[in-house]
Formats: sequence, C-alpha cells, structure tokens
Amino acid sequence: MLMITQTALELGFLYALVAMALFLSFRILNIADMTTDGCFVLGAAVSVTLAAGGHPILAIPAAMLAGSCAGFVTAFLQTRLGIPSILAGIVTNTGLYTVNLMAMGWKANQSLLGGSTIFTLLRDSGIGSDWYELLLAASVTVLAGVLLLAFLKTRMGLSIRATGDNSDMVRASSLNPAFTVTVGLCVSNALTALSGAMVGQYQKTVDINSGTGIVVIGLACLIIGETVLGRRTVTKGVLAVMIGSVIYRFIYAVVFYTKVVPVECLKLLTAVIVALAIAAPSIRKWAAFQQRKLAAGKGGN
Amino acid sequence: MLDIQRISKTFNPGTVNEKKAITDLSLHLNKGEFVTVIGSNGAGKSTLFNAIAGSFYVDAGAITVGGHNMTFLPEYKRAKRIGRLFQDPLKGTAPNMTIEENLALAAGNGGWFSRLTQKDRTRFRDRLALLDMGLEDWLNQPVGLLSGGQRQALTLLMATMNPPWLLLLDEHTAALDPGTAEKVLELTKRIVAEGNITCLMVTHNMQQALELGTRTLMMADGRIVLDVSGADRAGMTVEDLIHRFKAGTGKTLSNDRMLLS
Repeated sequence: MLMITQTALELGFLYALVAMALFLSFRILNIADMTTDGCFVLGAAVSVTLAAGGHPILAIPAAMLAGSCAGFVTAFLQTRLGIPSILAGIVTNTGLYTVNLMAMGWKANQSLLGGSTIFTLLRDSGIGSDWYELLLAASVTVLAGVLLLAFLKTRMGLSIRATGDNSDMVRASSLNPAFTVTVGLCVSNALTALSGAMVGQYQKTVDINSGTGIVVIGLACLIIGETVLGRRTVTKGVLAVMIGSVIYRFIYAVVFYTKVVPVECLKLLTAVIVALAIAAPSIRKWAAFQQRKLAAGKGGN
Repeated sequence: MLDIQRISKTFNPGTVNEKKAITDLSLHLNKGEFVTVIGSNGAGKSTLFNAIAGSFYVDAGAITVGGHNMTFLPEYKRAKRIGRLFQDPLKGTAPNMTIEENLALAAGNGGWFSRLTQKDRTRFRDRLALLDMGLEDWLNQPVGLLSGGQRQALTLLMATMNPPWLLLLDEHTAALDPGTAEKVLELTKRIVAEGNITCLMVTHNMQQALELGTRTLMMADGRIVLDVSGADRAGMTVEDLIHRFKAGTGKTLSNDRMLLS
C-alpha cells in the first residue's frame, strides 16, 4: 500500500508538469496545443539519449530547449503562416514523430540499462533515503510551479495572460499577439518536455508511442484539480494541476490494483471524463432548458 | 498631430460585395484639437478610425501621426502612440486579470521581466481616485466584476496612462446608461484637457457633437462633407447642421440612431 502511494505521488508530480503546460496553453492562452503528445516524447527521447551518453543532468535543460523549439514551430505556423491553432499543433506533432525517432538513434525505443540518471545520482548521494524519487519529482515540479507563477506576474506574463483573456484588448494595445503566443507556447512546451525528460529518466526507458493521449490525461488532471480547488487565480491554477495530477495517478493506481475497470479501458475512461467535464456548461444549459420546458408544459402554456 | 493624405479603402474589391468605404479622404488635425465626427450609418466613420489605428492598411494615401509615417506600421506598433476606445466597454480590458494587472499592462514601463512595484500601486491608486468610482480600493479584484461604465472609465484611464499622440473614441459612451455615459464623458473631457491630447470622437448625438470639442466633421459616403470650427461652429444649432448637410450632399440626413436633440 505504501508503495502504491509512493508511486502514485511520484508519477503525479512528474506528470503534473504536463498539466501545468496545458494550464498555460489551454487555460491562459486559450489554445488547445496538440504539440503536447509529441513534445512529451521529444523531451523523454532527448533526456534518455543524453543520459545514456553519460549526461543525465545536462539532459534536462537540453530536453526543455528541444521542447521549446517544438513550441516555437507550432507558434510560427499559427501566428505567422495563418494555420489554425489546432491544426498547427497536429502538423508539428506529426513531424515530431520523425524527429523523436532520430533523437533515439532511429529506433522505436531507447533504454538506460545500467547508466546513471538524475534519480540514481540523488540515491547515491544518500539524500532523501527511500523517498529520493518522490523528493526529486516533487522538488522539480514545485520549483517549476514557483517559477511559472513568478513569470506570470512579470510584464511578459501579464501580456501572455491578456492575449488569452481578451484578444480585442490586445489588438488595440501595443502588445503583439504573435510574440506573446510564441513565448507562451515555447514556455508551455518546455514544461511538457521537462515532464517527458523526468519520466524518461525515472522509468529508464522511452518508447516512440509513450506520449499517445498525454494531452487528454493532462487536461483530465487540470480539470480534476480545478474541480477540487477552483480556478479563480493563477496561483490556484498552478496548485490545482499538481493536486489534480496526484489524484489522477491515485485513481490510476486504484484501478490498476483492484481491477474495477480493466486497465486497458483507462484511456477510454479518461477521454469520457474529459469530454464530460469540458461539456459540463453545455450539458447544464441543456438540462435547465429541458426543466424550463417541462415546467411550462405542466403550467399549460 | 494627425495628417491624412488622400486615403482610400475598398472592401471586397472586384466582387458583388464591393464597398468603397473611404474615398480620397484627407484630414489634418493640430495638436490639442478635440474633433467630433458625425455621419449616417455606413458613412465611413469606423472605417476611418480603423484605418488610422491600423486594423487594416489603406489602398492608397498616407497616414502620419506626430510626424511619423504610420501608413505601413502594424496595429500594435501604432497603438503605442494611438489610444483607442470602442463602443463595447468589454473590449478594452482583460476580465480575468485584476485592475492593477490591467493598469500595469497599460503603463508598460520597465522591461519584459519587470514586476509590479509598490510605487506602481501608489500611482495606480492615485489615478483611479480621479475616476471617483471607488476603484482605488479594488486593485486586486478581477476587472470582470466591474460594471460596463466602470470598465469603460478604466479603459479610458489605461488608454491615456501614457498620454497618446492621438486618442480615438468610437462612440465610447453609446452602450452605457445615460447617467454613466454622462460621467464617462465628463472624465473624457477632463483627461483630454489635462493632457492636451489630440482627440477624434465619433458620436451619434448631434447636440453633443456641437457642444464638445473645438471642431466638428460630418461624413457621408466615405468622404468628409462638412468641416466646421471656430466662429462658424460657435453659433451653430442642430438645425443648421442638418441644413448644411443637405446643402453639401443633396441628401437628407437619415439615421435611425442619430439623436437630433
């Protein structure tokens, strides 16, 4: 039981970075960034390949840099070339498949058998004893959250938030939406790649398909967190993604061990939950309208 | 301060929907002039504003603001020097950001990574107190909680935070209730006078067009058909204005939204 809790917490914190990235792109910039799946694998591929080459620490910033490049491409496609934002993400994502294979040395997967990772480096230093993996996962995610919050309070951050909040205002102010969207997507994809980089070294392996559906899982975490914590301020939003991600991994662990639902069905279940959660306002409106019709029918008019 | 030389703009050229929105229009505004603009629907008032602000590029002619040629400058670059308010009070502020965050964006001082300081807050509080709406105690509240009038007043403050070379007011009080509209108008007059800001204002109220400012333009079919100022304008009544319009264009002034009183 303790082990399940520990693993759920570790994965929760590691994948929270994807939800944090989506908080920035989906909630703040109002863009559904489909680059996420491929970008996650890109981060993992760069990270595992570099770690295999003996540079587990350098691997992390390198993966983030690679991720922000992917974000830049998506942003360029949509802000300068006029490709609709969802399509821009899908186009980049498709291209990333090849880039990811290349990053793994033209193989579909890459493993780190005996090599050291940032996790083993911490274990060998003795800090955190049995909890070293959780310690590292939590500190990296919390640090990323604190930095993101600080960033969102700078003039650059405020400009990015305004871009997603009121496009009319931005157009009439001296902000260049093409620039703010680009910076926003670079930062969010750096976070996604950071998640991939950490997960890759944590699991000591990366597979070309390990990113499939990550964007939906990330959204699920975001929505779960916001349901628990509310979404009024950015601080709450950043906290919410961590809480949401940990809750999601607990649900995952419970399903995995109790088999209440076959594990193979978990992606379908996640997709249904996300669809329902995002559809909630429409469903509520529909229900209220039906109720109103029903009441009118009873009243005879 | 504003110099427009023979600009033209045609929408959907070569199609059945072709519309010559502005035809060979020239206009010169001196610094500190407060000009009101009236005209029927489709006369080209908003098109003129969009052309000046850079929402689109004109097909011909040149636009100079403060001695700088802005004809081919993108909208966001012009926005540094041109403040703009729309009829819709929701267009000028970000609802999910706080009042101080909105003001910080408008102030735009410091580098990209600068943060709000206590000094900024004091300055914002002083500026907000001028509005006399109690907003100075709401710095940390999201703008979405404010009423339309409060948001428009805030937008006005934001647009004039760094005095612009030119202020474009596109019926900015038309969507507000009469009391609030009056208040926002008073604020406009005061802020424009204090900063000696050059200002172009569209209105549908002809009385207001004559009372406010120093000069009145009337537009029809993408042209300026009437341009009165000084002594000529001082004694003018709404009746005179209608008469002059008819004489100038050979048409009666028709506009269901035009207020004659």
